[in-house]
Parts: sequence; structure tokens; C-alpha cells
Amino acid sequence: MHPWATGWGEEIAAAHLRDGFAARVVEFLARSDDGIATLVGARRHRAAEMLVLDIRVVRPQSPVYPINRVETVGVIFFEKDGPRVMALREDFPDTPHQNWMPETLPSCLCIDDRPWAEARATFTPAELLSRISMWFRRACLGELHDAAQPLDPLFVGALLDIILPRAAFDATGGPPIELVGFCVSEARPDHILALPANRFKDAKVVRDAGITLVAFDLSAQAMARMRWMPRNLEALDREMAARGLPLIEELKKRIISWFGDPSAGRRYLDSKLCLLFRIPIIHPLTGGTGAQSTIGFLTPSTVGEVGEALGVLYKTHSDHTKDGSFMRALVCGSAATATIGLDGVSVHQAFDGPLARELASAATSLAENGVLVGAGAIGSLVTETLVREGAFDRLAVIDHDTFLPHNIARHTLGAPSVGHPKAAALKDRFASIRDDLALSVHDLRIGDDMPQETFEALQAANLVIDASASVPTARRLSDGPWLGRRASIFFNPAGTDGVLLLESADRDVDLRNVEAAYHRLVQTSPTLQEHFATAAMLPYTGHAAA
Amino acid sequence: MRDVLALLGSDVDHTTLTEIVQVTRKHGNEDRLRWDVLKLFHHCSYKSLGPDKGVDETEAVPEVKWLFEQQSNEGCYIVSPSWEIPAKGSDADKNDPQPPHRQAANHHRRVVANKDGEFVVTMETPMKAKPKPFRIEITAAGAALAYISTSSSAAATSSTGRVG
Repeated sequence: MHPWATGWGEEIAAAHLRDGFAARVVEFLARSDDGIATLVGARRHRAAEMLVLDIRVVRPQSPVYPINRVETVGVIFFEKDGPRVMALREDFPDTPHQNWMPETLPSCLCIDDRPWAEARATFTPAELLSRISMWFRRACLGELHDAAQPLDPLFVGALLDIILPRAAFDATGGPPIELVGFCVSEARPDHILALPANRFKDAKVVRDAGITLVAFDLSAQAMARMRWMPRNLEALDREMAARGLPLIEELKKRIISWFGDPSAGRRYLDSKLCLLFRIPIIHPLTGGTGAQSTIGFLTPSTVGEVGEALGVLYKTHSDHTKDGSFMRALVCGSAATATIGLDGVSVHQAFDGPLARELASAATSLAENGVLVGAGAIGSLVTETLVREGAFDRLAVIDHDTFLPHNIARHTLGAPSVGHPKAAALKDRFASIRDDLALSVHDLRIGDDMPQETFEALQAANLVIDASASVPTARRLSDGPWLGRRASIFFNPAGTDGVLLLESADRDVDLRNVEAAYHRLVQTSPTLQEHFATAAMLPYTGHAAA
Repeated sequence: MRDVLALLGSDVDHTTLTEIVQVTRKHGNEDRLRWDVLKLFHHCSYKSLGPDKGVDETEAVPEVKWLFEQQSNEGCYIVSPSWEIPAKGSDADKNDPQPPHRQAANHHRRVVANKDGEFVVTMETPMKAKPKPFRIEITAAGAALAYISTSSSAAATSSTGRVG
């Protein structure tokens, strides 16, 4: 048995257990005669209590991991948290779905990843023992990982979260990615939004908040027991060396190269260093490597200071400069890598079209170029949904109307947009959802005279969405010379039905034809008998109701 | 993925088994006698192994020895469809001529120990006081002995059942 277990608290009689759930487990075992779990002993350490159990494992002849037929576990019961299941065999194998534990402690099996507040209502002794038994069974069969589960991260213990643009994830070799990092909320000081540095004209901003990011690709590996994030460069170097990457040597080369960059060198050296490691994960079920683990580390030190610690740079102080500047060390000193602290970061990719499509399970974009005619309620709702699903790289918004208070009832825009042109306000809203959208605003009504840029936007569109709720506008759009597919969306007069008229992809059946079919359907279908009936409405002329 | 091979023994003695082995070998079909799971012959009787019970372990005749020791696969199971194995010196051990026989059981325990396997007695499983049916599961990783849980639990889900 693991020496930790025999030194954990003191041995107690099972009859003296104070934890209610632990006592119920003992009662359950006394009544149970299925032989799957046997009570070996009990211990107490401060307020926590542990039951030591022998678990009879459904172990096949050739288990994927070296699990024994009988495994001894310690189930620790806490006052305010769910039970922890520790595998007490000293040479218990490293498997997926183990909770992180310090090296000196036994393995901790992840039998339930639901928050305890959610799980406790239905957690019974039978459930606990069933989950433990199931964990071992699945480990033996190499089935610990459910197909729908996210892969375990390689490291845990990140102190910060950072949101990075896509370029950071796609970068391979070449110059580093220059970013500027902001803490966007005082309520979340550990969340950093990193934006491309070239968006910022103020050099001081770039200098004070600059981040130089460099990414490394590692070879694929299988899911394994999670490890604690390294806290300094020396420890990180050991982890990466085990994966075939000589990190320190790579960093030395890069910092020397950046130092020599005449245009960007100073910016690099003054910025913080962000290291990304991309590791394809071998899926435990499929054996494929579609998923990738991205691990991030941020240095509190600047790149220059890191270079100094690595022995490739040294800091000078002259009468001509207030701040020290870095010089290239002619003879590389020894690397003081343990002095370079690291903050582990959880890495998130900023929301953009490709990510939106991935989340919407859309293989391709609905349309690359879109035009929305009519920035009213239905246009805002439908188009915003499409934008959030990754539709469009370019989108033009056409409307002549102004956003007023009564519009708030059904629109996606809110009070801050009151008094603004609907098209411009909606364009700003779309820009706030995805900053990779190329947006244009056309504050006008579709008519015979149309500015050239509006005509060109319609000309370039793959999809024109008519949300104008205007029959003449819909017909004018249908008849126009542009090639893109048209769709018309509107409510019936009573607001009880939503209608979508969509042309065929080749426009052989155009909007006029679809409209004709729509009218025929309304005339002939009994379920649409009341389709054109009007209902009590609030007539609005721009004046407050009496 | 691997095949699981089973031999389901009937009430035959060592002479019949010897003949089966000899005929099988004569036709070059030794592979047909390989096994991962063996339901014992004649309720763990020593007579399925050899003519003499022995003091502590029955010595199997050559063909039967080959069948048990050479044809068993790693991690094999030998299942004795029998009462509890008599303890050494017990009344059943000394006086009862009927199987199961302790000496035969010792032979089987030795065989499975050398193959990291398991010897299972139906009326001792999961415990002597309360024997219950059990399963041999056929999995992609081979045969696995599974006790049958008498209690049900909620579905072992890791989902909270709601998303938002």
C-alpha cells in the first residue's frame, strides 16, 4: 500500500465514523453480498475520514493498463465536498482521467466530473461504488474517455486566462506575433485580452502592455495523468525536453535574432514573452490526432530580461539613456533558468468566423458575401444568428430608418442605440460579435437610384436577405441584375407566423415565383386560413400613445 | 481485438481426454484445443487429470498436462462448477469420494498462477457464505470475470442533464 495511506491520520473503527455518507457506505457494504467491494479499514484526519476498500475489478486477460484483479482504494469523505477516490497501490499506472495530485501522493481517480453541488442530490453508496467499479473496468478496456468528453488538459494550475487572436494559433516559425494584452475587467484581473499590436498607434501602449508570442509544435502524444504547470523556465525546459524540444536553446536563438531586428528589436525586448506549445492529442478512442492541446506560459519578465537570464544579452546603463538598454553578450553566460518565473495561462481563441462555424458544426460558411436589406427586428434577429454561426466574411447593412424606443421590444439593439440610424447601429453590433467581419453601412432606402457602392455590394453578394417587410422592395430586389441568391423574411400582419421565401440556389425559381407559390399556399391551405387576418395592434406614428 | 477461446468440459475422465488430445494432434489440429476459459471436467474431479488423487496435488497424465499447461492462454480462467473445495484435513477432504477434490483444485490453482489467470469455484463466488451467479464477459481485451451487482444505481452519467 502507498505509504501516504498508512500515514494519513489515525486508524479508527468503522463504527466510529462521523461522516454520515461514509457511515452509509459501511452499512451498504454490510448488507451487500455481491463481493464487489470489501471494507478493509477506516481512518480519520482532522475533519476528513477515509474508508479503505478492496475493489474486485472486471479485469480482462489483456488489460490496456496494468490494473490488478483486486485494487485497494481509499475513499476520502469531506465535510463540504465530494468524495475523493485514491488508488492506494504504490505502482498504480498513469492513466487518463485521474485528478491532478502532487508527485508524493497516490493516484486520484476521476469518477465523476460533475460539480459536487450538482451530483450530491443523487449520490448514493451504490452510485459511488458503481462509479469506482466502472472506472476500473473502463481503464482495463481503454474506454475511460467518452467520445463526447473534452480531452484532459496536459497541465493544470493555470493562474491566468488569455484570449488570443487566431494568428497566434496558426503561427509556425517566422517572426513572432506581436500583441498587446489588457485586463478588461477589474472583477476578473486574471483574464487578459490580447489584441494585435498593429492596431495601436500609441507606442507607449505597445511598450507598456506588449506581449511577444512564439509558438512551438510538439509531436502527438496520448492523454496521460495531468501534471502541474511548471512555475519557472527550468521546469518547463525539463517538460519540453521530455517531449523532444530543446526549449532553452530555441529561446536563445530567437532572442538573439529578435535583438538583431532593426525595426522591431526594441519592441520585442521591452515586451513580455508568451510561449505557446501546440500538442496534438491522440484520441483514446479513435487513435486519431484531430484535437490539439495548446498550453501557454507568460513571463512577468520582459524578453530582454529573459535574454539576460539566459546569458545571451546584458543590460547597459549609459548617461544618454534613462532606462537600461540591452546589448548582445559576446560570450554566452550560463543560463539562470530557474530565476525566470512563469505564469501558466489557460488559452482561449478569440471568436471569429472559423471558430463560429466549428461551434455551429457548419462545414462551410453559408455565404461569404451577404447583404441585409432592412435592419429591423426580424432582420436583426436572423442576421445576428447567422453571424454567430460563422456566416459571411463581408456584410452590407442597408436601411434608412432610425432606431426608436418602441423598436427595443423585438430588436437585438438596446437603449444605447436609440436615435441612431438602424443600419449603423446594427453594423456596430455585428462588429462587436465578430471583428473579422468586413462591414459596410448604407443609410438609404432601396430605390431606382442607388449609389455605386450599394450597387457593388449587391453585385458581390452570394446572399441578399430582404428583411424590409416591403413588397415593392422585395420585388425590386428580385428583379435586380445581381447574381446572388435572395431570401425574404417577414411576419404575417398579426405577427403569429414567420415566413421565409428562399430562391433556389441557381435562381431559376426566383423570389417572385416563390412569392406566387406562397400566396397559392395561403389561399389553399386550411391551416393558413387566418394568415392574413389582422390583430389588435398598437398604431404608432412617432407620437406617444394617448 | 482478440478472440476468446472456451473449452466447456463434460463428465469425462483422463482416459477420454487423452484420446481427444491424441486424435487432435494426429490431425494437426492442436490449435482447436487452445483455451482462455475452461469449464472444468467433472466438477473438479481428480479423475479428469489422472488415476491417482495425490497427497496435495494430482499429477496429470501427459496429454492432460499438455492440455492444461500448454494450451492455456495468458490470463486464463478455470471455472470449477462445484461445491466449495474441501479444506485440507476436513471431513469432506478425507472421506468424501465425490468431487470436488482438493488435490485437483491445487493442480488448477498452479496452472492459472503460472498464467496470471484465475481459478473460480461456482459455490465459492463471490463468497462462500453467499455464492451467486457470475459472468464471464467477452471483451476486446479478452475474457473478464464479472460479479453481478445486486444493487442498482443511477445512470453513471457525467452530464448534469441541462445545458445553457
